[in-house]
Amino acid sequence: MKIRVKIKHLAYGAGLLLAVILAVAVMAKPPQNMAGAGQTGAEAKEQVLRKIAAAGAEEKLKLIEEYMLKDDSADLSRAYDMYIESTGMMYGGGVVDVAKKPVFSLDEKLPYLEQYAAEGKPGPELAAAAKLLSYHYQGEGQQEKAAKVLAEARKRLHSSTAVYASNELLLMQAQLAAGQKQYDTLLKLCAEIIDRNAANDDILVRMSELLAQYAIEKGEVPQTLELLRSDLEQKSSRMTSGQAVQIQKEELRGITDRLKKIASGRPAGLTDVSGTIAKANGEPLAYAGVFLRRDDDLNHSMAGFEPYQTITNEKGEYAFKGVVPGRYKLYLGVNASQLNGWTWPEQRDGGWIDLNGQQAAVENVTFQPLLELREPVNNAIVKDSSIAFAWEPVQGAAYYNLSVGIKLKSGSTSRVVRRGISVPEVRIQADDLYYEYTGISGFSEGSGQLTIDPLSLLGYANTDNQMTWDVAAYDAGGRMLTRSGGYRLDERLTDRLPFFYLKAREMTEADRTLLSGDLKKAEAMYRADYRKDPDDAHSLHMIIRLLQGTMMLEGKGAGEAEESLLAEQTRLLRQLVKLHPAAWYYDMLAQQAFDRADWDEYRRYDELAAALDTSEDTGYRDGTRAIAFMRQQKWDEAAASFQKSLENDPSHRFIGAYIALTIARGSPLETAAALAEKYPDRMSYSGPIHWDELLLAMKREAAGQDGYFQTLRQRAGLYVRGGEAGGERSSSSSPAMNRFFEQLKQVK
Amino acid sequence: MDLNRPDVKRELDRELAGLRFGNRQNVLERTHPNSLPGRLRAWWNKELELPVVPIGAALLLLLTAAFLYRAALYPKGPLPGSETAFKRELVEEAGSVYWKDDLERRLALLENPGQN
Repeated sequence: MKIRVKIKHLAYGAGLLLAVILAVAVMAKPPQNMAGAGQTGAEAKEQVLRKIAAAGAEEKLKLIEEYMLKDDSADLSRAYDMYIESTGMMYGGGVVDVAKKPVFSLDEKLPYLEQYAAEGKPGPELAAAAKLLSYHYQGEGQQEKAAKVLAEARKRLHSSTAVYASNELLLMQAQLAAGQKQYDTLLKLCAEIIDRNAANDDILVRMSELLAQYAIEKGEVPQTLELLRSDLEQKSSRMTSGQAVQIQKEELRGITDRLKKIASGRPAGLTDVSGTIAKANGEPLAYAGVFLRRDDDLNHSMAGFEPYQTITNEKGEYAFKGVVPGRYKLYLGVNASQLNGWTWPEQRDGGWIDLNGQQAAVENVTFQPLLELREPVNNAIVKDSSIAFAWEPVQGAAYYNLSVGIKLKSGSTSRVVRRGISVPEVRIQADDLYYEYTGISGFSEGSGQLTIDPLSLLGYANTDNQMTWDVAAYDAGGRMLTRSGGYRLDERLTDRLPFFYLKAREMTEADRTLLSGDLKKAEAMYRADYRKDPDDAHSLHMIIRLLQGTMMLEGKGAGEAEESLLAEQTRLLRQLVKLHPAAWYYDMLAQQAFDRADWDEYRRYDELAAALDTSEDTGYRDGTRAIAFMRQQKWDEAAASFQKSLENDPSHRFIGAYIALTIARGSPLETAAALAEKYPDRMSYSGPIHWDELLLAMKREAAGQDGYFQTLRQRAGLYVRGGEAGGERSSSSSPAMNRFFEQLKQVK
Repeated sequence: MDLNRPDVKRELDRELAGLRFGNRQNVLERTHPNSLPGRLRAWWNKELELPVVPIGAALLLLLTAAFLYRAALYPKGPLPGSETAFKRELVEEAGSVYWKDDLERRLALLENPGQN
């Protein structure tokens, strides 16, 4: 087949084709490396800045918007990659937007933000620019300038179209005024907030937090706040459910409690909290987010409504002015690259900051270089009867603690297996690790039915499960210097991964059956193995674990069945401690004796457990002992043990029981409240318990009720003897007392 | 119309008597071009006879080659503006925070006899 075609038509066709190819090539250009591979961040930044410099006025503002003001840049609770606390845990979603655009520091943005604040179009970006500038000026100590930039931006915003942005500016202005103790300005701003947001409870709650500052400082409740509170209370009683409502209700309760505290004449003053965030080499953590979070807020993720949020300046310094009394923790917002190779050592008191009206509190954070591990690493297989752990020495370290962890179906678990190691190496017997305690965990598959995780039952004896380890170094005073766990975000820091497999033992058929998920069959096999060989400690250990699992699934109070299970467990445990004595077996025996109120046996096993327990933290053991003494009505011994527990255990988890004991023994509520304030309950069961506030509430409740204290003492007496002092004796006229006994059930 | 008929012929001659063909030179230039523009115009309008199958096959080959070349030059680069291409996930293992993809690549590199 042939076609006839003139040369000129051929040429036209070729020209057209060429034009089409060119057009496609221009429109679908291959990825441009704005900040991508092969180009450093500095180059990308330079490129953007050149582009901004070359652009016309309007285009310039657009570019500033695009490169410096998008993505919630002024909402500190969302602007950072990671939110971390002193326990070093990563906090937040964990998904990070990596260098899609070059990241400018606040300092680099400064001239551009100033231009945008002056010329940018009224909208959310203008508010963001003003907020960022305000944070920057505050960091430089220029409070007036910080307030001015907010006021001017708000003037340019149309509050009718940019409601949210305008409110944010207004609140920040009020916050600044409160921090500066400019209360006239504060009240004026608050009036404006109320005027505009009569129906916006979220904003009103945030504002009331600022008014509380005023109330505490002046010792009088502003009328606005009282009105607001009653209004919120009315609304709150009409609300239904949902997390937002829950938070708001808690906020409201917080405000109410605070107002009552002020009314009852105990206004502790405001505190200025400040500090420096830096690395041990002196390099400051510039422009990091700093969050002083109330204990009430720790149960939810970082939120914009939390009152104390700021940014460090270029020297890593931060300051919060006029913080309301309470219990706080410091959290930081950082970008992934900022902490690579560093760790935030855990503090002994868990990082709690208690503000009781002191004038100033200084909270510095110093990140330390990571401790490096030597062996075993990179999935090494250990087949010897002992494992040699070794790591790089840390200067000034008096001792090290070693933790070993295993994977579970969902998540992982880790325990300190050796404490007080004086040299940077230690040998652990594989057998000791095999019998190490693991908490039994359950998981639910599609059906929603809870199943015991076999990995948690077999624990460290599972030779197929990858083990992890980490080391922390301490000085002679017990302060953590550094540790191996931290931010390892580049190749250089991942060449020695702390993973290994322990294959000193052979797994039995029963172990394999257990791992396959057939727990019933596995239990029968373990029992058969144990019958064959009465010295088979592993099978005995596993039978006990499976019994524990069964009881966990069926729950307490299963009646006769549970009793026979417990009896069998006790019998088997007594056999097992003969073969392989370990602290946690004795602890289980002690717990069972405790539940039976067999005090002699409890004491015997508890002492045996204590002798084998290497943990320095005896807070839990002392607290449990105190409750045992309490049940035996040995008041003095109980009080002494509680004291010991409270001194040793920074969580003060037994303070509630101790308070009940002092009440039962006839102490006035003031004595109990002083104890509560000295030892705040840090055990966050389902939210913090503020015993001091409960006691104050009870004191208020007592006024005008005859026989209140008598009833209280009776109920407390019943509780300390081990009876149920809660529900059945509750009285509708004493809600605070009822709440007190309700909360006591959580103390254990 | 029969031009052999004398009356018709005569009539036609009479009617065409006023017409003179004065473009002889132009026609000759077109049919047998001598000047450069004329030759170019002739070439521009020249008709070619092209075999469809071989030329089509050659074009197809050329296009494929061009596509492969481009694909080799920019191996699966993320599309501009594609959000997911820039997301990385952080994971926590043994108390440390790693990039998930980094850790997985490392672990894949290590021989993993524990899992066979």
